[in-house]
Amino acid sequence: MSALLFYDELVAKCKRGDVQSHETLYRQYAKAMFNTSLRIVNNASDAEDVLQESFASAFQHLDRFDYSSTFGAWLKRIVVNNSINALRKKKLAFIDISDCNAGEMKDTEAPDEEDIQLKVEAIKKAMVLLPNGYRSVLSLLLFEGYDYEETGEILNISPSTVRTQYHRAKQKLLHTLKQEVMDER
Amino acid sequence: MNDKLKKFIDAHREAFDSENPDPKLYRQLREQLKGNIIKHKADQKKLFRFIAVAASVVIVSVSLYVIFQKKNDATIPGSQMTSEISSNPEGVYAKQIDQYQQIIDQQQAQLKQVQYEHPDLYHQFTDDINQLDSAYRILKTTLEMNPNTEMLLEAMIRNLQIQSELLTRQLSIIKEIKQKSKA
Repeated sequence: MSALLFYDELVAKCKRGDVQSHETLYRQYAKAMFNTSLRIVNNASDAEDVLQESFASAFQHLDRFDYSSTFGAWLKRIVVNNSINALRKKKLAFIDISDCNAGEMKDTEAPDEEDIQLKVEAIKKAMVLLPNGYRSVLSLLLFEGYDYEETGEILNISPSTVRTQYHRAKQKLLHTLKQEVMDER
Repeated sequence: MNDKLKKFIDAHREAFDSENPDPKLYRQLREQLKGNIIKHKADQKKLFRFIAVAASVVIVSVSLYVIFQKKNDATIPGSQMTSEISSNPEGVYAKQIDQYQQIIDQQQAQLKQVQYEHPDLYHQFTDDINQLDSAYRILKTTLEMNPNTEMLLEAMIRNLQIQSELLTRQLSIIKEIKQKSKA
């Protein structure tokens, strides 16, 4: 694969120190990256801190970006790592994930996905209510497009643990969604 | 993960990115980056200071070496001479001195190119080289008074070697600084 496969003229201009291009690049990615961080850290103020820290770090280390991936994928990884670190700083350890009550649910109790009206706002609302560990796993797997292995690498847990956590997290999310639907009725 | 939830999210992925960061954030980011540039410059100053100290250590070492050589000059015979040097000592030394002088001249010309770009660094570097060079001149004067003294000639060559090594380091430091400032 060519190292320049994902060559990006805007990024190249930034590398040459063009301030205007920095702003254009920021405007292009800020919103998506903010939402990515927000889904993980679960509050706007922390997500903004992560966003600023991530862009600063990306702009300062642009020489390390070699076009072997898209700039967006490179930046997203910085944002995701910083978001997870922000959660960790708050001492919300991921090992606690298996102790969450959703782990006690039996498979037979799991709500059928078909039964649930999957609506964007409902999912967003349910995500906010999830424990940090579950929300992180779902964010990385469902929203950011990472696989079990990559997610495990980011969260520093094994891919098999990711798989288990994903199923539990999804059950918990679907339960919350079902509850929301019932509450509305 | 080939499930309905995943499919639904994939199909409506953009709708999930609905929140907006504070518009003031970019200005804060720029300020942060400027702050880091100032910090980076401060780090460079620290580096220059370190280089100055390191260069001084080299000069002291060379001076001690020169003094030592001069002291032993009269007492120790030139026991490590090769047959080539024995047959034509002056010619071989003169050739070596000439070669080093040429290299040093080239390096100094390169160093001169940065005198406007990094004037502080240029002055610091040339000061260090000048100190070494004045030690060389003392050796040369001594040689004129005591011709054919091999230890003295070897000390002169060593002095030129160190000048050249110091210049090589100075040039690589400049190269590194240039690369960093580009990044």
